[in-house]
Amino acid sequence: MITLTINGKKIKAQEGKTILEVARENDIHIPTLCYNEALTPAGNCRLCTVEVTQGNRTTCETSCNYLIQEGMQIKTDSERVKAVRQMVMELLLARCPNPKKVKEIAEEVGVEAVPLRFSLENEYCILCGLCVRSCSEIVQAYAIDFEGSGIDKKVTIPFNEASQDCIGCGSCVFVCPTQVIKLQDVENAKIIYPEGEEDLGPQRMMQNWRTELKLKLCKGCGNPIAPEKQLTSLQEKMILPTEFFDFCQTCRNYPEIDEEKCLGCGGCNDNCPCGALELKEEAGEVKAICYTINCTGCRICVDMCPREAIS
Amino acid sequence: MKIKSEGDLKKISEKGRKTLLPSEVRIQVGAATCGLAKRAKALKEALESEVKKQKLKAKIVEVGCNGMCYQEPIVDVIQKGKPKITYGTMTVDKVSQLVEAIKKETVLKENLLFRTDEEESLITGEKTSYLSGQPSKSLQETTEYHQYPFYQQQRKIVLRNSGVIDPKNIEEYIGCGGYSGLAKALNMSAEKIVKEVTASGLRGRGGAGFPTGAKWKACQESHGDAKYVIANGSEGDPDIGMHRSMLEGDPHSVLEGMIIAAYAVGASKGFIYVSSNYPLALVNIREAVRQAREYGLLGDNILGSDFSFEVDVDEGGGAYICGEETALITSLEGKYGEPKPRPPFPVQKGLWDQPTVVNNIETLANIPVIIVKGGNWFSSIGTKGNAGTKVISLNGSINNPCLIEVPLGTSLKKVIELGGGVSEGKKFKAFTTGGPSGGVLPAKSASLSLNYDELNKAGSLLGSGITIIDDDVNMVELTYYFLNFFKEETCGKCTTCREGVKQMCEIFEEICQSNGELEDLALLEKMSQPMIDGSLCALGKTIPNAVMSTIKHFKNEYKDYIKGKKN
Repeated sequence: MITLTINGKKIKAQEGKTILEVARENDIHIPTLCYNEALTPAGNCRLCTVEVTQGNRTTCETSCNYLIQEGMQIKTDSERVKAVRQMVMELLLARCPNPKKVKEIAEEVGVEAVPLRFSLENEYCILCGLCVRSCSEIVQAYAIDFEGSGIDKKVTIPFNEASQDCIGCGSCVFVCPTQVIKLQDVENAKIIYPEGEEDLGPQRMMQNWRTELKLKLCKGCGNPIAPEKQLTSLQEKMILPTEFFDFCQTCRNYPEIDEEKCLGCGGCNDNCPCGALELKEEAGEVKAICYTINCTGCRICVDMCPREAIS
Repeated sequence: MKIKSEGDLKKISEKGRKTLLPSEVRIQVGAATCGLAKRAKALKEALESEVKKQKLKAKIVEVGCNGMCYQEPIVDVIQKGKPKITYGTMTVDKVSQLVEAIKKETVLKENLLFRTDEEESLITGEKTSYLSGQPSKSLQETTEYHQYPFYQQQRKIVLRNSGVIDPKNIEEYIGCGGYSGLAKALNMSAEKIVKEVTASGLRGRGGAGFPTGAKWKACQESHGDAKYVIANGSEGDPDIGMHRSMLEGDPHSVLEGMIIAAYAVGASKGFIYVSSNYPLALVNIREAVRQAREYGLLGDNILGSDFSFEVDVDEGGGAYICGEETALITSLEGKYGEPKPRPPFPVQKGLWDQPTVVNNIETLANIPVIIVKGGNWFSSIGTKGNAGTKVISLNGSINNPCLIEVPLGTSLKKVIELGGGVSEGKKFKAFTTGGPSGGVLPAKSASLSLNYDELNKAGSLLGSGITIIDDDVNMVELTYYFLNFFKEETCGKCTTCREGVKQMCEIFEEICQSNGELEDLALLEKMSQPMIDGSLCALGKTIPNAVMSTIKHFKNEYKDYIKGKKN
């Protein structure tokens, strides 16, 4: 355990944690833009800057990726810190005046307007890199990355051509704080030529990445499930039968347990990868039951049951 | 041949000394970039054909820069029994006269710079006497090297071999006492070497001045699967070419220092990172590595010991940010050259998360000398807390742009005098000591001395060159130029740096078009501290230096612009 002070309050925390993690555990608010718990902190936006005193040295550091150390004294709302946050937001507001999140945080840190001398742009991307990190760390598709450096830096696909690697999962859309990444599902995509049209069927459009992906239809209801590429990629990563990917969430088959045949041996329960099966005692008899909410429909239990009680 | 013992090294050393002082004539042409820019290549070719034509037995070699870049192309003539003669600003049309003069054992008066009777090797202490007996009458009036004012004030440690040896010939380097430091180090314990380097008081020459001994010790104590040593030869300041000249003139001194560093910290692999803007430096260092490998100074069981070490030369793209150690490491890893937060420091988790020592190449070139002559000897040079010498590339509005090496603590005034003073007819207005990052110091600060702490206090830093600015230069426009440089070179990671420098440039554009207002200066001042606090690396943290120093020292010029007087 490490002892440190945040805003004069003594705090004990586990070694290896970042300042931001410890602050949030202790209900101390630090604003962030490029931080997501699931991803490696990058320290790109600089909004989470705090003042750190170690020994006789006081510096400003980004709390999202600075590890705590014994005896550290941290100030999360000193004048110096406020000045940095305001400058960050003034600069971001000049770059991206429209996104809701930018406006909200600017207001939160006390920025009312951009200094008159700043030149205004109409960008939407704040270059936080959350999309890049989620694509590489979580999805492991490595479809997008930063291109160029300095003031020309931007997030893009290789050579600005339709991506071969994008699986259309939409993680980038989900993490983007400024909602600049667009995902659109089209029911009947068509290419129109002078001679006629070509029907493409249901498609997912990742507009920012110039990528169109074919959507797979559910074998049950016929509604689109997800892009074919995404399902293939999931299939490669998970040990699940092919049929699992043929149905949508609603049409997927869940195990039905024939109570008369069930012995309560627990073979299904032991082998269920999702913990969806449980044994329950009812009137002196032990029977298996299934919680469909956890079930992925993998059918392992069907194969495991010695009495063929699960179908 | 592979050198397996100190005896082998001695044999090669003798061989090297013989090539340096041969029985036939040896003609050296200064062919570093400064020489090549003044047609040294054509001069060498002309010399070769002329020597053949006049049937003179002579060997013509290319050497590095001897510091007097303004006198290039420089030609040295070594003739048995005669003092070494150095000629400056040689031209192709004078080649036939020169060869004739060599044949007649006379000199070419017009281009004569100085003579050298005797040279003492810094490492071995051995004296090389070029002259036997008395110099001829015609030469007696010529200044001797040791009395030559340009060199009298200098103390050559890092540049000990530059302009003396053929950088592409390892035997000549060994002949000057090269790799004897390595041989000595391999007989010492790693702890003893670190102790010696700590005692020397050597500080990193990259600009921050971190004690090298402390860095090595930290790396020595770190644990990892492998350890690495990186020689940082990335230099991006506009107009400065100190690292280039060093690598062009004497690549082996860097390599030797690096092998010793690797032995001290326990590294098995090293990387020399040189910007691709320096093609000749890259050729020379690659050749040096190849030769060292051939001679058994790299690879397995160096000099017959059980220490093994390999080196790769890596070409950087020339980005300014890649001089910053963590950005250099990410660049070496094959990613975008972007800095990483510290801690963890590179000595704990550097290249591929393994303990890594990143040293400037000038720092490394000092190491062999420290090992041979001892840390105490080194710390006696310079001043307390600032031991050793500093190589300075002098340029800008100066009479003689040159490369010099002076003890730390030398006053800046003296340094400027070595370059022949501020250009004739110009008024000395300001200077920079750390490139754009160091900001601008006014002329009156020339009373300061070359000292890390003193320059830091003045708001600048000790980089690799001094640029003199005269009164023709408008400081507002110069600052605008610096900001544009940063706008090009920022990596774009931090909002404060990327967006901050963009907006600062916009403000300066307005000021330069006489649309400025006094509030603009207040806004620039207001932006500075958050930019320093909010940026990760030294690049972002030093951008406001240029703005703040010029506003502080030359506010009048800003006011002139704001009033719209200049247009």
